This record gives sequence, structure tokens and C-alpha cells, in this order.
Amino acid sequence: MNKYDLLEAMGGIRDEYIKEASQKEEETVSCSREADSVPVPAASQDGRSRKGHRRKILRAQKWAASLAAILCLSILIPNLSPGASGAFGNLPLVGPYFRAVTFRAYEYQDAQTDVYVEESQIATMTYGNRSEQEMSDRSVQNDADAPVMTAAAESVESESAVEDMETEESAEAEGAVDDLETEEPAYAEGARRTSPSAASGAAEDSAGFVAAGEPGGAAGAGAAGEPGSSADAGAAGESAKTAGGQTDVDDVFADSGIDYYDETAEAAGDEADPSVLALLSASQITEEIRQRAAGYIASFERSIEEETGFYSLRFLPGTVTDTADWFCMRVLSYTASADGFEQVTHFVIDKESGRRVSLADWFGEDVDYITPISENIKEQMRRQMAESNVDYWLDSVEEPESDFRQIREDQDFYFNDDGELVICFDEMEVAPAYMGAVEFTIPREVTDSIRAGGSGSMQQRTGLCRAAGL
Amino acid sequence: MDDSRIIELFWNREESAIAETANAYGRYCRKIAYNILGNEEDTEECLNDTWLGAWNSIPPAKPSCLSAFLGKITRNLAISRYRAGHALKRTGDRLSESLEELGELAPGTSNNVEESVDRDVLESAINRYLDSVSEKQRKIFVRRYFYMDSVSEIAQMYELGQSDVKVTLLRMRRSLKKVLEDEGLMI
Repeated sequence: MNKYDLLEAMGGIRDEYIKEASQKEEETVSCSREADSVPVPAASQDGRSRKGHRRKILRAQKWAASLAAILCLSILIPNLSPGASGAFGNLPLVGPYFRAVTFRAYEYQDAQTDVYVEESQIATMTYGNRSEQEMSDRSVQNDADAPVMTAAAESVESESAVEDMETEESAEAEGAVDDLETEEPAYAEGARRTSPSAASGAAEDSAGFVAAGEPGGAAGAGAAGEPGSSADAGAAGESAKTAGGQTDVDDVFADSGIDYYDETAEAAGDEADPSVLALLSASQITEEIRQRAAGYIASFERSIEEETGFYSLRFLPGTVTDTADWFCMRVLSYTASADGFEQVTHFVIDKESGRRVSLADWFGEDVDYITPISENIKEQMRRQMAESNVDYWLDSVEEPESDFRQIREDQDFYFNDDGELVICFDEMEVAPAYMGAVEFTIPREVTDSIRAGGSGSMQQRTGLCRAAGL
Repeated sequence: MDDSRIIELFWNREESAIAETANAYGRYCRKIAYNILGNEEDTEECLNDTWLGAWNSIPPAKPSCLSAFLGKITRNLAISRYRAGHALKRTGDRLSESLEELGELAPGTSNNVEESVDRDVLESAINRYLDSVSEKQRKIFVRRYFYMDSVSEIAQMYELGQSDVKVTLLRMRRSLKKVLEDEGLMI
């Protein structure tokens, strides 16, 4: 059987399913038809060659457009009037907020191999808890600046993105096949530079929406706290002006009483300003995602040289939760040679504090969260196995030593849109391979009960406090 | 005009059946064709062939779901045209991407008849698989591999993140592969 057999067999999908999936067609067909009637440029139509080829790392042309849109909204709304900006400043839980822009970083296809890697740049902007008067004063100043900042943001979209797109298309048309001949170090280096510095630079100057992980931005988590990194961090501090009710980043650092240039988030202490910590958290996650992607790409390119070969690779980061309380990113990686393996990793930021959160952080020191959570997961596994056709490694007769016993201290997790804890397992961690990566939502009564018995070591919100009206 | 009336026109061999079909399902079929063929000229030819195919099929066919019936005709014609290389320009990215994704399930490139799988058997297996998944998963799957929509279109249509769509498709391909392996169809 080949892929064309499958493609044609899809034509035999039941009519009811085809109709079921077409029910939203009318809502989008007007947009689609307009798009469909526009002739597709020849360069974009260039289908992938049957020969192996690599596409040049795409510039993040959508980065600038997305960022510009976010900036316009983020800046204009609180600057419409002193009242609006004051209202923003007085929101009880307003703190750092984040936007992740995901873009295609690497591709490779040939007759036997299919690799697709994305990266995410996480930008952060912060509205601190400022006095109403301070917010009002600052908003009056910013009202005058807003049109300029908006124009700067728009210019990022119209000039930089279009220029990047045109440059990229012509470069692709000319150099796509030649990429096979380029030396690996040059290509690998190009693979890491995925964000247009011009766009991020313009964004920083105009609005202080700092693109974490960019040169001139927070310059990666390693910048803060590393010997000799003060120059980079200093540049980050100088270039990251803020707006919309915020102080300059340097003022934030001064207010926080910490030396940003020399301290990591951990060393900053509980009193560190959330805007600082948010910047560091976003930087760390951006850099970790970049490093993971680079690791997969390096492994794949090595396997090409050694002719051992990945069969398929997917590296897909994305935002999974973005609420008032939590910002959670997920990275799904799937590799397949003879068989496949799926792995998920989540990154969790507490928006109120700006810090990255671990399970131990959230539950508190000296709290046994492992046992009750593990027992709850076992209950869910048993229920699912009884009610549906799924398999977990639990209560096994043949290989009880392989059964799931308890979660790890650093088990992967995130918080869903309802603020519930979700525990995640990689493929074959608790179930057979065909189940893939699995996850379990822990009921609030379970997590609240655990936290009621512990003492939080960091600034946190708890369900119990909310329930008690605190 | 509703479907039953259109089908009646076909059965009565009234030529207005074509015009009414094009009016009711022109956009729908055009999207399917364009997703596969990627250019206006081939799409237009494919649509004309669709109306002719419907005229030649009805009667004796009396489809219970006209949209699916026409969609399948269009899709099959478009894929045939694509494979025959009659497209004036090279195909758009959507079909290529879908093919590459399906290649994860069926890596073979051989067209050896001995290695071919009975089409009915394969279709039945796919439908049994779709019976077992949720409505949301099924819609995403059908939009991608029947309608050849892009990930961004699917995400927009169902108000999902693109990451969610990609993850869903990835996991469904893997579980479908397991189903096909269990049924001995992975040749």
C-alpha cells in the first residue's frame, strides 16, 4: 500500500462524515472562495521535489504582523483614556502577560523522510500594580506617544514583513536546491536565526514589548546570571522601554531592588518585580524550546550523514493555556524510524508572580503531592479501562513490575483553561505505545486538599482562598 | 433549490439540473478541486467534468447526500488529474502536505499490483476507525484528508489553535496506522 492508495481510499469516507465536516463550510466559504480565486504565485506553488531537499529557514514574517497587531491592542486599549489605563492598573490580578509566536524553523522531505520543526518566540509585556494616579499620569504622557507607537508597529508589519517575505521568496526560488550543497555549519547557524531582528528591534523601541530570546531583547535565560553576560543584559535593559502604564525596565529593576544583570529568577527572591521575572521566564522558555529544536535538528542531520535516518520528525510548540492566572506552553515532539515515539513537554508560568512553576513550587515545600495525585490517576485509569477500550499499565497480571506506581517529582504538567492541574505522560510511560502521550486532569478537590495541608513558598493563588473570598 | 428537486431534474433529464447543481454546489466543489489542483484552469475543467459525471451517474444513482456525492466525484477527478500530471502548473502545497502525512502510514512507493490493497477493504477500515473517534477528531481528519484543507483553515473553521490541529492529526495518523496494522493492511 502506498500513500496514494490511502489518499484515494479517503474518498470512501462515509457520506454522513463528509457532510458532518462540511457543516461549517458555508461560514468560511466566502473567505475561501475569495482566496481561491486569487492565482497562487508560481514561487509558492513550487511543490516539494521528489528529491531530498531542504528549505531555507523561513523568516518569521508572521512574527512582525502578529506582534504589530498585539502591540496595537496592548498599547491602545489602556491609552484610550486615563480611566481605561487606570482601570488596567487597578485590576487585582493584572500582571505579566505573554504571547507566543510560532513559526516554521526547519523542513526536510524526500521519498522516505519527512521532518518539520517549529520554534516559538515568547514575548512578554507587563502591567504592574501601580497607583491610579501614576497610571493616570503615565497614560496622559502615552496618549501623545500612542499614534507614534502605533505607526511604528504598523511599519513593522507593512515594511519589514513584506520585505522579509519578498526576500524570502526570491531567496527560496534561487537557492532552495542549492541548499543541499551548502556546508552544514552555515545552514545550522541559519537555522537558529529565525526572528527578524529588525522587527523585534522596532517593536522594542516602540513599545517595550520585549521579544525574549532575541539579541537586544532578554538575550536568553543564560544572559541573566552568567559571568560576563552583563553587557547583553545591559543592552536588554536599555532597549526594553515600556509603555502603557509601565515604567522603563531600568526603573523596574531599580524599584525591585535587585541587580537584574547578575541574578537569575531563582536568586531574585520573592520580592522581585513580576515584570522582571516574566521577562526571565519567557526568555528561559524561548531558549529551552530553541535548544530542544536545535538538538532534534542536529540529531536528524547527523542521522542523514550516517544514513541511519529518521523516518519522520515533528517538533510542534504551541500555547495550551492563556488565562488570567496561567500561561502554559506545550511542545510535542514525535520521532519515527522503525517505530514512533511521542513526547510532550510543558512550560508553566504563574502570571501573578511572573515565575515558572514546578509541582513542588505550587504545592509547597514538604507537601506530599505525589501520593494523592498518583492514587487519583490510578482511579482514573481503572475507570477508563472499565468504560472504554483503552489500556494502561496498571493491575497487570503478566508484568506487574511494569505497572504505573506514582508520578515523578518533576512530572510534566500544565494548568488547563479551568485552572485545573493536568498531569502528562510521554508515550510508553504509563500505557502501550498506541495510546501515545496521555494526560489526566486532577480534580480541584484533590489538589485543594493537598495544598490545604502545605505552606506555599511563593506568592500563589489557591482555590481555597478564592472559595473563602480572600 | 433543495437536493431532492435537483435530483429530480437529473432523473427527468432536464438540462437545468447542471445549472442548479453548479449554483448550489459550485463553491463547495471548487474548493475541493482547487485544494488538490492548485490552479484555476485545472479547477474549472475539473468542475465541468464533475457536472458531466453527475449527469452520467444520476440516474441510476439517487444519492441520499448530494453534497457528499458531488464532493467525491470532484475529489476523485481532481486526484486523477493530479496524478496524471495534467495540471498546467505544479500542484499547490496542500495535497503534497497531505500526501506526505499519509506517507507516515504507508511509506511504500511501489505501484506493484501484488502489493496493492483492496480499496473496499481499506475504505471500510478507515470508516471503522472514524466510527471510533470523537466528532471533533473526525471533522478535523475529514477536513484534512478528504477536503485537503490546510491546518490554518481547519483551525480557523473550528476555532482551534493550529498546534491543536496538528497534534490531533498526528495522533490520529498514528492510531489509524495501528488499526491498519492490526487488520493486516500495512503491506
